[in-house]
Amino acid sequence: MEAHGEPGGGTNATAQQEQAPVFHMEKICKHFGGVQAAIDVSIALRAREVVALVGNNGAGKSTVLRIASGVIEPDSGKLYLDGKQIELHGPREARALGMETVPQELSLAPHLSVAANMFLGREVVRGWGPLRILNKSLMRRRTAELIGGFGIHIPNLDGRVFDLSGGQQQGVAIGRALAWGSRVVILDEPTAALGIEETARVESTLLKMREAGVGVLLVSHNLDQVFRVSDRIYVLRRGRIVGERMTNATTADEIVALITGATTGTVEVGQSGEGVDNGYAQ
Amino acid sequence: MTAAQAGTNQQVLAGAGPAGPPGQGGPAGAAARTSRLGSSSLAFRILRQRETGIVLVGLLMFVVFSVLSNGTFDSVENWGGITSTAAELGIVTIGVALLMICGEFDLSVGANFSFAALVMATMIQDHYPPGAALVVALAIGAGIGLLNGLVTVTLDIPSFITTLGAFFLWTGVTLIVTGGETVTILPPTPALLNVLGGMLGSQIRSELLWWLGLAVVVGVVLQRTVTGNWFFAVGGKRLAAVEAGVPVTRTRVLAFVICGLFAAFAGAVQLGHLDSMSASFGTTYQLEAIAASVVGGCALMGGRGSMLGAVVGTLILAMLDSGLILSGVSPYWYEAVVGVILVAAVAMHTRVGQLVSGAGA
Ligand SMILES: Nc1ncnc2c1ncn2[C@@H]1O[C@H](COP(=O)(O)OP(=O)(O)OP(=O)(O)O)[C@@H](O)[C@H]1O
Ligand SMILES: [Mg+2]
Repeated sequence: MEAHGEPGGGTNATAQQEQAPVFHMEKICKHFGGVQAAIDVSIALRAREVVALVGNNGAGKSTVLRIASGVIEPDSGKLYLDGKQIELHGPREARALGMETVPQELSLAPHLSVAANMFLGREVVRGWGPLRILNKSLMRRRTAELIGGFGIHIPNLDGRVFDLSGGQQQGVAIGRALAWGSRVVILDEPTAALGIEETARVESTLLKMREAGVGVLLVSHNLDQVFRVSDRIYVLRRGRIVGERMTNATTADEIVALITGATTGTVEVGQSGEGVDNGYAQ
Repeated sequence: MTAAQAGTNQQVLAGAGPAGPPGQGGPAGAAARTSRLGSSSLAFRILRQRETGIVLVGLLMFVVFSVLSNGTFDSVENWGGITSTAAELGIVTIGVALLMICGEFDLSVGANFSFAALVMATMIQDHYPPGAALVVALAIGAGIGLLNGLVTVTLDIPSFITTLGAFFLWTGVTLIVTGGETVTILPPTPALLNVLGGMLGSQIRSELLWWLGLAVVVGVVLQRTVTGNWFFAVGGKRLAAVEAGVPVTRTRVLAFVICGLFAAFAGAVQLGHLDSMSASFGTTYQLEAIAASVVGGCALMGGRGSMLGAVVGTLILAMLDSGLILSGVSPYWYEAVVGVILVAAVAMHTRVGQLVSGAGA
């Protein structure tokens, strides 16, 4: 069952390149009124790969992730899962395909229990029709297993999420995505509210997910974290991808320069020798 | 299939435990387990219940009025009266509380109540089958609710405004149609009206059973079904529900429809009780139903509330109505006292919540 990833988390660049992406976005555009939030954004994500998306505030990172998770629809551009074009009309469809998201804005129902949140939108039921009865005990038991396995300490799984600390709530949101994301897990600033120990736990779980064959797309402002966990980095600036680098072939200084636009000019080509779009677009 | 996927991932996650940073699962884990046991003890769970405080307030009120009224308040006759007053408001409140849990308001329930019941009364007067008249009344109620819901979600405006508009609209329509006349159904009263609001035995009216029965049914739906879960999720944080894949628009509209349906049914029940209906009946129900819901623990911003709370909240208002009179206080005090109780109840829900659960958070 356990997929055999490279021990130690090190990734072999050539092996990666031969593999087709599990998920990719092609020339995605999205504007809000006069704001061009995403312009011709192409991102590829392979199974067994953690890809980081970095950029300044307002660069368009969340917009790109929200398109990938089906929350908003792009003005133009295409999405592919396993090489097949998909259209997402709402997050439910993305989830049905095994794509799970932890949005930047904490996304739990505050007055429902941890277990109810874990299973929100995919409740386990007995019976049928509008009066399907919730199988609360099963959901509670499974939640205890999931949360326990993830290493988050939640004092009371029956209590309202509202009464948990911010970090514990974030833990529940991340745990939910990791529990259900079988193909792709998308995380927008997942550890911004977490302490050092919890952050380390999330990072190690992301790496476990990668080894299990999931593609992970991560937005983070924490460059140390990006360098700790990612295999590849895309830099987004004012809605455009301005660079793509293999993590082990770049430096923080170079990424910062790309983020801030200190290296001006045209779209840069990854040092791995690959163009931004080619190789992934069909 | 999703279950199988979850199974796979569970193993992945379970595997993540030992690989995590050292020091977890030791003493800290043991402590967490102890406090989990402590927090699930029966006394603690009862205290945590938002309704506990208001049930105690209701009992206190019962004792005080019983003493002040020299035994007339807690008589069987008086409780027959209290419960039948409460039943009509209570049925409206069931729908309003459910809608508030879903994060919305309906200020048009009073107008809906009298319009639907007036149409029903008129049809019965005109010798249509009473059953058909009831179905039409319920369809009107559900239709008004549907319209409220569709306008709210498609125009994306607050339901407070939509339903305030609907209140004026349907009040106006009712007056236009009836000319403000009271419609009275002359004997022999159709059996259906007795089933809805007639006497059961010497003291109790059937509307009491309708009220409590419907409250139980809706309570089970809220606590035990997927749809109920979604009402809480949508009312608690709509965006979170959207992102979790809950069909939010459908859920919101459904809540409006149910609320409208209950308002119309309450109207039918009152027609069964009084055998007459007027546009002036039910005009204060929207505010009283919101007051009863809030007294019973519904959060104004949605996401919290219960049928137990809705029933107790309604009962408190009804006890007040009767208790003040029997205690020799002018009934004009009713509104004033309701206002004070409303504010005090919300303050209590907030403070008790902080005391019991907030301390640990
Ligand atoms: N729903 C929306 N309506 C209008 N403008 C929007 C909307 N969502 C995003 N924008 C705009 O699009 C641009 C990109 O926003 P986005 O949230 O994607 O940035 P971000 O890179 O995630 O920033 P941050 O690091 O602050 O989270 C911003 O200028 C923002 O104001
Ligand atoms: Mg963002």
